[in-house]
Amino acid sequence: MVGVIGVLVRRNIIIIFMSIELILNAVNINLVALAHQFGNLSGQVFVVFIIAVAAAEAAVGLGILLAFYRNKETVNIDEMTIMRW
Amino acid sequence: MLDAVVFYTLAALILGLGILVITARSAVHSVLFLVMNFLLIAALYVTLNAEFLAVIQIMVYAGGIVVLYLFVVMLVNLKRDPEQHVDSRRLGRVGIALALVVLAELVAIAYAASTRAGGATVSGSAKSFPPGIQGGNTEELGWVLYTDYLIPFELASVLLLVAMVGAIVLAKRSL
Repeated sequence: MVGVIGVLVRRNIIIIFMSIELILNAVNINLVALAHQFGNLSGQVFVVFIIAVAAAEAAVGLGILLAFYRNKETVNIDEMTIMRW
Repeated sequence: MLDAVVFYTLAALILGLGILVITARSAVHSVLFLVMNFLLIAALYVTLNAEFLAVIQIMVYAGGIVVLYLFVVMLVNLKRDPEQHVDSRRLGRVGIALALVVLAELVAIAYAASTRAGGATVSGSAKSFPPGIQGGNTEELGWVLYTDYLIPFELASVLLLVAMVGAIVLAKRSL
């Protein structure tokens, strides 16, 4: 919930990436809690996969962000319109 | 009872830190709140009998991803910090509030320890572990991961490799 608000409200793209991490962490907490509740380990396995995907997403996203910043000198997402036709 | 207190304390702290992450004025403060958030989530995993995931959380999130974020924040956001004036009195009040929280926590821990020392014996506290996870849950998680979920595991490794190559290519100076 907090992460979604962060995605919607903030205009600094780094904060938005952090909000996405918060969302993924909320999902992880739910999965672990349900795995604990039902005595099933599949939830924890999925959490491992989610952490791997989150790491990949952070690396690629921040790489894109660096490449963008080098060209445009901004981190404001309102100015990220270079793909608009 | 103690479990409930621990859970609600952790949940309240995690929620509060999440709100601080998205409301902090400078991005560096956001990243630092994010570190605290991840560490508290790791503590929550420990209370949910997921010790391996707690260690993974600390290593991957608090160790890896957050350092990545800090690098990017410092590469990108150095020049213009919009509202830079620091209210030292406000910081002092926040510090006093945090100190009071820590004090309350210490008192609660001491109280719980004293009541437990009075109530239960050593064998009682050792028996409070569930029987299935005597050696931690790393072994069981490894079994499940390498038998039932072998192909997704390999796919995740390929995904990480692709992400690594992609990140290097994207962040290279001469694109």
